[in-house]
Amino acid sequence: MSEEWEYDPYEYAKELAEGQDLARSDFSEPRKTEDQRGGISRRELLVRGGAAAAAVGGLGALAGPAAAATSKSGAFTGTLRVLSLGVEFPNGVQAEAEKALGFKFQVSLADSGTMVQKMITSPKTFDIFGGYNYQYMQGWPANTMLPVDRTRVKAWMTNYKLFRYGKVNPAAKGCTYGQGNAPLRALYVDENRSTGLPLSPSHPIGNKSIVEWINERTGKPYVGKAEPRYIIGAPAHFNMDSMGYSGDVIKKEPGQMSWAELLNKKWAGRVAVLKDPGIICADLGNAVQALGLMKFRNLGDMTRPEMDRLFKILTVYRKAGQFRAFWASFTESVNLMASKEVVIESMWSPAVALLVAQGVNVRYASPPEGFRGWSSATGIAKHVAEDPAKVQAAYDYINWMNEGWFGGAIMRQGYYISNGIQLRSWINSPAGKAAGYSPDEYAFWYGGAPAATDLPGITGNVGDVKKGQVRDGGGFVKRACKYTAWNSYFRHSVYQVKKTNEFLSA
Amino acid sequence: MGSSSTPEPPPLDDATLVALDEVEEGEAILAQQADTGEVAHEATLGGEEAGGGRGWATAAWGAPGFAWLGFFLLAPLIFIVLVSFWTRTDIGFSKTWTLDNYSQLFHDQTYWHNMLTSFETSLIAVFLCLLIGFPVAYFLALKVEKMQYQIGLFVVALAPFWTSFLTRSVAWTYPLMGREGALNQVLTKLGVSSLDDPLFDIGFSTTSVRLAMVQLYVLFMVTPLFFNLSQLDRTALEAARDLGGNWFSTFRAVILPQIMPGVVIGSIFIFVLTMGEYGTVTVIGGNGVSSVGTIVQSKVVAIQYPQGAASAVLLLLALVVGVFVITRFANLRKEL
Repeated sequence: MSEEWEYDPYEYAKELAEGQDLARSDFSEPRKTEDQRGGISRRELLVRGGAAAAAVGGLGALAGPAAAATSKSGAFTGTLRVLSLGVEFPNGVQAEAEKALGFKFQVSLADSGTMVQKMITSPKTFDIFGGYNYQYMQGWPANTMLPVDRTRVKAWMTNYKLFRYGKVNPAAKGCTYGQGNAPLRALYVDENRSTGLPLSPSHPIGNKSIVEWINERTGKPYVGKAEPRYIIGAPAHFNMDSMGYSGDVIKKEPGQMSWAELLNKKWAGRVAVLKDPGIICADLGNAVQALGLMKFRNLGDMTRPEMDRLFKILTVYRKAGQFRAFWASFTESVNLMASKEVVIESMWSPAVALLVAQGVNVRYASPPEGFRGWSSATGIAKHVAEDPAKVQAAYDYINWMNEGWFGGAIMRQGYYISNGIQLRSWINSPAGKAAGYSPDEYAFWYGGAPAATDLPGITGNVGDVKKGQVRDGGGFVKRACKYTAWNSYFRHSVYQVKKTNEFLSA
Repeated sequence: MGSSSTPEPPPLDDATLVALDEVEEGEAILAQQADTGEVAHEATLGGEEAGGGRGWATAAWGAPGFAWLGFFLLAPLIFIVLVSFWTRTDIGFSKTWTLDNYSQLFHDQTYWHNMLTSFETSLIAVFLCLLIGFPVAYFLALKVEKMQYQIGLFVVALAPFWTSFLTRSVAWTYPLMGREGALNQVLTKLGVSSLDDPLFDIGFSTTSVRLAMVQLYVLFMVTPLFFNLSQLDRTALEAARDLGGNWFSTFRAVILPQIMPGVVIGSIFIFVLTMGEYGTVTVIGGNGVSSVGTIVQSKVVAIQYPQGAASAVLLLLALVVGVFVITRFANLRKEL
């Protein structure tokens, strides 16, 4: 049975290429006439966008000072307002942080689009921004965020080298940076361009200050250049995303699951993809590339002709009934798989972990092409600078995130923390033991070792992870080695949304 | 100029009246009523003019409403129109006037395709809601004699709407229309479908979105029809019956003209609600079905405010035109 369909996606793709006039190969040259932003000066791009932003910002200003409070000793006694992505802020974190830090938190959870909106239009409604690096790539020119001083981030030097050098082990052969807004391209800021470092190669047109420290050709810092002191935010969670698939239906090992499986005709009508335009481009772009139908110059910043061709191909699949649905929330992705509407979909690690904990046979692919990476950075809103005590509180929170407890909590979600090395020693310490962690858990999630006993996982209950279970894709170093692309902000984002709508309307 | 030039009024004798078709009779009665109504209406207007001194007091009563609408409806609307003429930047927009947003939109086939499919969805929804809603309203208003029962049954009809819109929408996805949902489970038990290859596989499709919309919005048709039918002039119905009208001719000549305001109001509700739909389309269509609403949303989420605003403004214009056309079917001012 397996032999019959293993070649199927490729053959089907070939049929398509021959039948649908999709064979054009030169897509690298962008058409100049279509750059709508040509007529606007860069300065205008930097001007905060108009009355709406001002009005909303004004409302936020009322809340700002009211929320700030400082005791006579200078310690922060107010409330730190955290804006974060839902899945990245598990239950229990707020209570623990309040206990450890001695001040209150007010947490607003939002989806990724809303978060950027808030960063741009209502930056005074939050103090801490726990968002993806690619969101900063879009929102940074709004000038609403405070550059974070890395020298005040205690974990800086113990963080994985993925953040500073682009690879967990820069010396290792065969590991890839991954295209798009990888942390090494979306981390350092140089507000007055005093470092002499080049702007990040993956920056949007409005960017004037996000720079790259590492020369990607040599893998080493640019000669004679010091590491910039300021960053968009302190590295926090990160992971490697891929596809979840039904182990009952698709009898393949995670390492054999190419992105091309999303377009395997065998699963027609039982495939779902995350609805986000950037992720449709990355995941299905990877699939189309794996099928040999196209080669992208940069999966994290496609050109218009590349998108034209990609969506032309995808529309053919769509019309043939390849996709069952598109999901926009964690819960939807879980429901689609749990109700057997789909057998394969782009999925987040905790969604897979949740189903596995419930006994559903779902596996997480480790595509040979590499994972789609994402990383989040904890940033501080610019207005916080008005209250030095609050700035200190923000850094205290950042440093607390790296101490261990928080890393442990997100480990059980299947995410990694930027200084997993420190997490290991915390878990081995009395504090880690008191918090209910065991070295076995670390060995399972980071080490890729079979679970020594039943372990607590995403729901916190022992047995979420069964004895003998192995994390799909193996240990951290192996998983973090190969990135194909990172969640990214496209320069041609208007066109991207237009093409995505066209695809979704087909 | 002799009196001979004055046209004679047509002779109306009893024989002519009797010879009149029953339907025309009904229409004559109606026309008479309408005339009376108009007179009464004019009388009311005259009354208002006579009491012109109360104008300021009336205005004062209206002020909070105007302020509310002005601040929460008009101001944002004006702002949306303005933004649609401004230039997008990565971080919102700059106040540089441009027509690009509209010219791009006019050449955007996807947008107009969605405008058409959304319009089609609306027409289907209005039609099906009429088809399903009228018998319900008719039964409640004319066949149920006791007021208590009428109200009771009306509340029963309302019951599904006590649940939130989202819950009802979600119920239409996996539990009902899903591959292993109720519909397919039953069909599989009956041996006419299978779980792997459903007979009616309409989960996450345009069809299921449209079906769900009818269920979600049918009450907006039932309600105005119910109140219209409750006020129906039953003497006219009796007259029609006495004159030998069958159900259909009575419906056409007596009932329909009287419930037109209800039909129009219900249609406006459903047209406006379904044409701009976003939530139902997203949830029931599994994010894979588009409407003008989802297009606007996709642009707003991506911080493409001018593009989103222009898309919304054209949708608004389409809605205004649609509502205008619908209102042509009845003179609401006159009949309410």
